[in-house]
Amino acid sequence: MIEQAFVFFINLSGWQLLGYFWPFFMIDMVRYVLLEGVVLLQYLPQRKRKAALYAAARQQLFSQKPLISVIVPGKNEGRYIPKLVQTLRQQSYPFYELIVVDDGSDDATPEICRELERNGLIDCFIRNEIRGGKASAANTALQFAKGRYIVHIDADSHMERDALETILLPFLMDADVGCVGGDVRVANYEDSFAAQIQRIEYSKSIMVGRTVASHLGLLRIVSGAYGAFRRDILEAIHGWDVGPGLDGDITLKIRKMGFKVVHEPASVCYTNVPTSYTKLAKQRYRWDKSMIRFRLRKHRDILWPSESFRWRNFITVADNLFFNLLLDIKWVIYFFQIIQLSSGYIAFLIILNYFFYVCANLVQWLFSAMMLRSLNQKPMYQSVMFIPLMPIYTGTYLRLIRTFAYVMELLHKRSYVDRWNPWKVSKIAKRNKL
Amino acid sequence: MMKQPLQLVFAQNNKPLLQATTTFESLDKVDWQQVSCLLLDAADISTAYAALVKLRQHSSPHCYLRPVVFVADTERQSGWQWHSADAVLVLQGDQLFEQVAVPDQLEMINRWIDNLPQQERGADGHLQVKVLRLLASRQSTAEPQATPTNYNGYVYPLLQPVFSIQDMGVMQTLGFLEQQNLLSATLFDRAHFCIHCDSAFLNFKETCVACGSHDLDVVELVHHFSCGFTADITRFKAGGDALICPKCDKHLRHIGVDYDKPSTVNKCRLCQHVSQEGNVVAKCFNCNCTTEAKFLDLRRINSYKLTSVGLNAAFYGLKTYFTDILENELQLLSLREFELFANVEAARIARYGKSQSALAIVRFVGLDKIHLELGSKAKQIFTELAGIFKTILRETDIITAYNESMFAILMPETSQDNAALALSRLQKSVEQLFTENFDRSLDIQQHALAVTSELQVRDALERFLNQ
Ligand SMILES: [Zn+2]
Ligand SMILES: [Zn+2]
Ligand SMILES: [Zn+2]
Repeated sequence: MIEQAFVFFINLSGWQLLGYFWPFFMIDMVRYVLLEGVVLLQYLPQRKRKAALYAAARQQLFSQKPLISVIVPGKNEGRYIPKLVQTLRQQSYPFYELIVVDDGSDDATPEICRELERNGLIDCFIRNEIRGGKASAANTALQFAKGRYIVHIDADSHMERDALETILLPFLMDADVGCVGGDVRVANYEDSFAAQIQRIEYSKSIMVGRTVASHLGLLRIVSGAYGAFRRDILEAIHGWDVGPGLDGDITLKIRKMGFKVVHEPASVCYTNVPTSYTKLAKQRYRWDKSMIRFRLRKHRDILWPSESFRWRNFITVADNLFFNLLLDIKWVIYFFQIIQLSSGYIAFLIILNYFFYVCANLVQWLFSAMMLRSLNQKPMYQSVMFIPLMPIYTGTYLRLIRTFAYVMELLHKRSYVDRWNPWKVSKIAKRNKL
Repeated sequence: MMKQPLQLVFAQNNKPLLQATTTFESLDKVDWQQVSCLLLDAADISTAYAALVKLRQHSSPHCYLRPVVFVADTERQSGWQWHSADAVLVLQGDQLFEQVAVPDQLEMINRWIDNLPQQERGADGHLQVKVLRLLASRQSTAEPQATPTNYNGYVYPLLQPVFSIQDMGVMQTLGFLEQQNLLSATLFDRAHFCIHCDSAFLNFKETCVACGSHDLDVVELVHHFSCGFTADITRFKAGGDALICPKCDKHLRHIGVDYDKPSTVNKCRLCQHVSQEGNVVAKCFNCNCTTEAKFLDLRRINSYKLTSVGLNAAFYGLKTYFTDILENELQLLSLREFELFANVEAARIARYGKSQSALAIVRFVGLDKIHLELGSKAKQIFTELAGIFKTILRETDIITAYNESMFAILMPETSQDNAALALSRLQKSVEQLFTENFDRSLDIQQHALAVTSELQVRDALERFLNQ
């Protein structure tokens, strides 16, 4: 069968190849292999040449010693805080304050955090008795932050020793930088298959993907799990808006103000990802719904010409919409095309498509290995074993979830009934057509 | 007509006996069996209370247990002192002081006094016994009452008059009696006391956990649902009767519907530190010391009820007292017997003029406090103390107890100097006993004098006590 498929492939002319496999050759390969490859080939040597600039920024940082406010908003996350405190204490940059906001936890979070506060391990702990959602908790922390920079981090994560120091460098190298995304990686990849695959996905989409987008000036998201912001900017926009997907939302707002949003792959933070496919599906469903909501509804002004129109912001949103939403539709077209025109070759087409996508993933894995090497970090050689699973994961599993989420969101505005927000907040958001 | 501060109401004819000459010093001479109750003119409550204190501090149960009635000229009575008497009666209209009708229930107290066993009716100065008897005779519990006039915040009105300033506090005495199972306690309240001076008058305040300043701002947070903005309420502009969100310019109309107040925090004005925890400290009104609340003395304020053991002790006295132990170890004579012996000895010496005898007086200062401090261990000390008496005294010496801590010894055929010598040996041994075994000292006052025909034992003891 595989042999036959290979013979089928050999006998195809160039145009036939394009006709049968246009989604791969015209879209995915161009976007995720060629484009990223070209950009990385430019970015990595450039970063090497900038070594002196990084060193100067570092020197400037340690002579200015700006205070960083590390804010950790969350619900029922007290059990992670002691470990987070530990990784913060090991940071190479010691001038930070830790602000933890408990968003109406119903577990031992208040007790744990009060104890840490008493021992001076948390600088400020605020418990909101009434739950207000993640945005409100983050805004509460912002209200009392004193630092020049705000680092927003998930409780359930730990950082490399130099993470805080490194995430600040882009601010010092370019005064136009408004926020910096850190490189979120998978901490618990050894826990399950699902986690192993997410590790590859994170390195593809965050480390490589965001670095490329950042280099092109198109980065549209700074992860809420680990990102740094200038406090003056956050205060000017009065903090975070109601989620879900509040990370993407605030990043766009900052972009609209004319500030740069960059990704710093050298600042590493490890987070725990869902270990089962069901939990993972729920997480992604939530994320995907917010895509529609914020890119399409709330920030649609970016797509229309106006005074504050900026091509890059337009491309950012357009790219996101195109590659996530419209390309979802391409599969429907492709599917019907195969059924209608080439039903005799379905098996060959599937095998060959799979083969192409494995190759593309392998190339992307090579990109990530190159990046890690150039950042003087250990490449994840072991994960190459899981590459053959990636086409099924991204091509089928994630796509199904995404399609479902888009449909639900467009039809029912489902994300207003998000269990991550108290219903009261969601109701108001819906009424105001946010 | 000039009112008398003190009026005795006689039992038999229920007629008051007014005597301008009745002074507190002459209380001793009163035939108490005939007295039904004491009426005190309480037109001025502090004078009346002072009189009550004198009565309650008398050593005879006939006097200190006797019912006392305050006669007031007004219904308006404020202050715990009003509760220290057994009853308060108010003069009606132009009624005369002598015409006040005394309630019959007070007779119950008199009956209790009459039932006291014969040997227990004599003078006794034991505070503990007095407390037990006051409670037993009134079939009453010791109820604490909060008061701003007492620096430790609580007073037991019935018992307070028994205690002079020098005595152990009422609370400590009640606590001790509870320890001895003579009283049982029921929690009335829990209260904080200054660890430096015992005062209950404390100003509690939150201070900054970072710098200790008490200059804190209370910041109220407001969360606007529709835009997620969450900040100090003062950052929201006031627009008519509603707040206006500075982020989205919308009006915040209904709490719980479009906004919430998720929490309040303390913000230090001095160091800007923000926390929901304040360090609670208490500043003492009495001694000005500031103490962290967690280090304050948190005590149980109890009401106390007599136990059956306590009721028994009220009748028969406390058997673990030094005098009781001494009574067993050495033949302790009553004061009357002792006086008799002393008189005989004085007459003998005057007649023959050949020999000399001495009267030695010893007073252990604060012996009753040892009882309170050491509890059951006190018995051991008292036994040791009695042993010392035994080794220093001779067979022929005669000893009596004037009160709980003062003793008189008649030493026949002993010069005043030798008696002084014996007393100093006694003192040395006692000092040794205390420093070696109990890590504290006991002050001893002593005096030796020659027995002469002029000697009046009681006067000598009285003089010694008051010197
Ligand atoms: Zn302070
Ligand atoms: Zn608002
Ligand atoms: Zn004090």
